Amino acid sequence: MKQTHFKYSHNQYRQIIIFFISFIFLFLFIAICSLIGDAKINYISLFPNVISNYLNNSILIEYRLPRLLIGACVGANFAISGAILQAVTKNPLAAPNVTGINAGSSFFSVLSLLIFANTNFFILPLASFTGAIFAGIVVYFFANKKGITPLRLILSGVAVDAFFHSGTTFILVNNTEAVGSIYVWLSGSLWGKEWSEFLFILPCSIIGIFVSIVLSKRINILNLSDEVIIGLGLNIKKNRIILLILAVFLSSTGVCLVGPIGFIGLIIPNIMRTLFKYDYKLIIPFSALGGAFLVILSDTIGRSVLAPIEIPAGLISSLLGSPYFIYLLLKSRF
Amino acid sequence: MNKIKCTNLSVSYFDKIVLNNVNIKIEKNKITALIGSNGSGKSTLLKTIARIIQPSSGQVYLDGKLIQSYSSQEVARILSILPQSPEAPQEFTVERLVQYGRFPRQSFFGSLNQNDYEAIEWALKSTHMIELKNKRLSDLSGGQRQRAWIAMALAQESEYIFLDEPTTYLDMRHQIEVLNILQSLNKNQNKTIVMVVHDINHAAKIAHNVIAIKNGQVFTDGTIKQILDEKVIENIFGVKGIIINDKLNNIPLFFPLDVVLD
Repeated sequence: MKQTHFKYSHNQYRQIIIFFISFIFLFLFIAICSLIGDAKINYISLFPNVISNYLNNSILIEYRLPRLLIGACVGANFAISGAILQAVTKNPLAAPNVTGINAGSSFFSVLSLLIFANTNFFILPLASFTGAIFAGIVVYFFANKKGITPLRLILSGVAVDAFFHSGTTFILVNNTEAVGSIYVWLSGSLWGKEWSEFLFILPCSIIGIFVSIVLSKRINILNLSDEVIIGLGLNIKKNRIILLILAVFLSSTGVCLVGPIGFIGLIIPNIMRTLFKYDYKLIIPFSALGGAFLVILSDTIGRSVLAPIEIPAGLISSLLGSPYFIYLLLKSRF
Repeated sequence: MNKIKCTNLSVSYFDKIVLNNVNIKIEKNKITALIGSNGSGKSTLLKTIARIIQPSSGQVYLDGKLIQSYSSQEVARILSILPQSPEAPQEFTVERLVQYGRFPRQSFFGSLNQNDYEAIEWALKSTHMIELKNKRLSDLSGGQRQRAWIAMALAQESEYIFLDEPTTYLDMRHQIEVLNILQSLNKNQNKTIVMVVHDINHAAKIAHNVIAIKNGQVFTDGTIKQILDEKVIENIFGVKGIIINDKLNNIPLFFPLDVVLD
């Protein structure tokens, strides 16, 4: 008896320690990535008072740090959103990019640029947020028929996704001049992000991550088949709806700032699920970390490889993500 | 002492009536077998009592109170159910699966405590799964997997344990293993067991009471000795046969000979 208990706790402690070490490493990673970019930083001048010199460097503090911190938050949001969607739909291909949430967001954003051509700074995030929520409601509406089944949820998501995508393309094709700048947003970019936007996303991420971790016990139960879940006394419909709302919240708050950064919500949860064997108590926090790392890495590569031309982080994350995803597919047993 | 009571229970899917006005009582601390041919509605009855299927009309009383007056989580502490083909990710270890059986007894924020670990250990021991607790579900044989699921239901520490065809798809040795586990749970822990079984002799081996369902209605019910009659079985299953007495255990057994032509 005692043995079982201690063995389990021991494992848990180890994972908590790994998490906190990775968390500290994330900040180190952000600091290092902020030193890389088109406008060169004189590294030697940063010494010996590294911290105070860093804080006095306007390029680092005003331009790079906010965008990287925002990148970390949206990366965490997208990855957790994907993890939740994959659990609720019981489908490893579910992600905000696939289930219509990001497509709805994109469609509303493009539409808003068309209607309010010159006031995009305020309208764009709002339209994008509304679009994500609207898409979520539409997906739910079509998936719900005497309760929501995982399969109907994913099929409804794919259909809504295709619909909004074609809508976006239609507007873009017919208004090439008016919406030129939206292309950057549509491919997912951290360009020009400011501290004020960080102050918006940070509480959203903290709340989202906290709620997801609290609900992870329920997400674990939702891995089982429906009859077993009812037998354990968990209200399937209520929990699926709550988790769906949470996934939409996480994704929409991210997407309205930086656009749909591809592959984060798909690939990170898949990696974590393989590592942690469907234990969402670990998958959620580690997905948050993984998503943050991948967005920061993508943005740093995007800023530096073709400088001064900037490649949107979304393109880099897709470029990095797709080969790895194919590798996972080849390695897996199904 | 009747502790589960169903009155005028009816279930229909769309226009098809699956259960029609079923009135049954299930005795506490006994093993009750639900028998009947395919499509008779016995499985639907089990699931309806265990609130997995909502009845179109009629009531289920659990320990004297309407089942709706309990929350689903409260029901899960009183009654556990093992469905016919339960599913979990194959990467799960046995121990993880059994831990989930503690879900109805945990608080919103709570994690597993000493009580939970004791219940898990007891469930693993009762099903002879303690040595296999670190194995993944994908590495288990059919019989071991079924025992793992039974262990999960046991971890709920419920008074009532419902099982939907717990012996189907198992080879003979594993069938008997499962039946022995159920019998000892009833004898040693006073668990009330309700199970759907296909093999009438499995019912005869361990069940105290039998409820026979035919065309969505209770055809007959009673003790195993009352039910095991050539004419009764012919009527329920459409099979002719003879009753043989197992003198060693003093139970009747049915040996099938031929089908009744329609």
